[in-house]
Amino acid sequence: MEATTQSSIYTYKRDNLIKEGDLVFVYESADSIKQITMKRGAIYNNKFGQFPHNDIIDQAEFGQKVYSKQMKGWVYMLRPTSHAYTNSLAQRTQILYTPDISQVLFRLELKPGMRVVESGTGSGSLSTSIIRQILPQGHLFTYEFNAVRAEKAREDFEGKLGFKGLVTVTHRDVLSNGFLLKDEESDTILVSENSIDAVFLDLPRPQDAVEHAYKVLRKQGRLCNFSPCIEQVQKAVEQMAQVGFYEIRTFETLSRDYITSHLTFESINKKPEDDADSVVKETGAGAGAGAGGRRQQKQREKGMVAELPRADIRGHTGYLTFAIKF
Amino acid sequence: MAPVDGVVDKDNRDIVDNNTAQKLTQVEIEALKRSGMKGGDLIKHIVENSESWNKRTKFSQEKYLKKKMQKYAVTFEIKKPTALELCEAYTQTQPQRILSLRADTLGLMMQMANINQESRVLLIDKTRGLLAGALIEKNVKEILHVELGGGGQQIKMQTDILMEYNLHPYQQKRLSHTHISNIQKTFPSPTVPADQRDQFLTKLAPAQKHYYNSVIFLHDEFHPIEIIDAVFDLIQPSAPIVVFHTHLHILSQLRDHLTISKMVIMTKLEELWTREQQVLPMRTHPHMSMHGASGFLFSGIKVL
Repeated sequence: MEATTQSSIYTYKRDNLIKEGDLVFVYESADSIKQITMKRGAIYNNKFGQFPHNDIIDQAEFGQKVYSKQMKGWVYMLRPTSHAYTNSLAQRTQILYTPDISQVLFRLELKPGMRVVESGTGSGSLSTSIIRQILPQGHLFTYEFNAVRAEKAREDFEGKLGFKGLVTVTHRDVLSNGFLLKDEESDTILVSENSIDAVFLDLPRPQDAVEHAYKVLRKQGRLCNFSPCIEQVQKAVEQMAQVGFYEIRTFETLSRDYITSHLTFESINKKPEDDADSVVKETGAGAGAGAGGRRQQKQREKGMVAELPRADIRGHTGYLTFAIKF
Repeated sequence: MAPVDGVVDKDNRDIVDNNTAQKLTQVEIEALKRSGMKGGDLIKHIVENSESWNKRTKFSQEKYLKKKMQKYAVTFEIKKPTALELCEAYTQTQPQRILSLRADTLGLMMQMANINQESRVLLIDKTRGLLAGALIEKNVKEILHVELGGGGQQIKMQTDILMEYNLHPYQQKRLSHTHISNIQKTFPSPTVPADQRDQFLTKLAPAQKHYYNSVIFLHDEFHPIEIIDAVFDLIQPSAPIVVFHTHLHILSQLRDHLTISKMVIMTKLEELWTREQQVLPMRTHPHMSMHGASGFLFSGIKVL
């Protein structure tokens, strides 16, 4: 059965009921979020049992806890959000994560109606966030030099994400061929010089794309380059200065996560009959689905709340360089 | 990498910093300025009268020129006030007016709150309109700004920074205001047992219940736990809630409260570490000074 009108995943209807054709994020635990498209007759399976779509469509709301048919456990049905989409993506390439994405969107000052160029498309993680900022009148022109990835991206945009008409995926090596684009069938010019509001680059040799970017950007248009290695950044920045960009600024951004713990302390003068248990239980990241949390919960409520920095953090993702076309 | 001319072969071993290198006095420079000598020529004149100029490395010369230009040949650019520009400007000059909200955190806040054109935002903040303006820039559907406090008297929202955006009237229309007391009359706190709430009042405003799909708090006078309890019914299930605070512990308490009561899932407590880099040939390194306080961000999703 065909899905009915495919609205963008970011269309927030006032009605909170889950409908057939909706893209739903199934929250199993903090580390496990699955994307499923609701379809009558289909069944979602996980370790807690079966979740027939028919029990959810037109019956459950977004934000609702749903139990499996076997009552072995539950999941939450959630609306897609940018951040959750990034974290639940089946990665085809190294992707940008939320902290960097947020800086790109904010510092490029993306607004509805803007025309944006991006290369490479990769897994479409950033593309999705960009499109959300520029719809409904804007357009994203995204270029990918790997044919398989380009096709998969096209499928995602037009299929489950409902972005048809908002994005054009082009299979091309932009380092050699630039960003100028013409529709082959109708001969319409899609991307001409001075016609783009913002360009985002995530390429192995960004310095070769800088002049191409300059060409298609309008005056005061913004460029953002993401490179993991400082040598690439140096070469790209040198090109930017030469070609006519100004206010060239390079940043690195990392997110520092905190775990929330409960601490209790025994007394130095503890008497044998005191029932003090020094327990450190963690809330936050590990609060998973399913039964068995009740005793943990009682212990969690004891003691004082304290913060613990996470030890396993990211040390580096890449450098973000922003520049404005003069 | 080949040695850069004028860099490797020079250093500062013979340069003595005793203010005698420049032969022109300040009085003479002022006289030249008054005579109408323009920035570029003036700087050239100063360089010609500097004894240390030829001893300097090429990089040192560039730095010297940059310093002189800041003093004698100032250029400035007129920029349009946007959320980014305003936030950076206030962070540099008067951070207390925006409760120390830094630009990178503002960007993260909007991403975690899933701000887009369909957003119906519940905003409780004291940034004098900086946040409201940032949301309007993103073309959100509507914003309800809720004022807290004021006792019996209802305080109006302070909008001096909102005015700096130069928004069109049709954009400003998206922002509406109310006072928390109006909400409390219709939606008594969910932590009050059901049988103690006014049943009649609770039925009064179904239109607003579960309405807002994006929630942002940025306040220092009231504890976020109390704020969220007061407005919880207004929030649509599965909506993201984002709370900014300068102090981590306050957000820990909030997170604890929301997790234990199972009101919110996918909770996260984070801060941003951002460092700017100087990127120049042979001189690439992070900036020497850095801003150390991004503020802290709590985020989570409301559940039924």
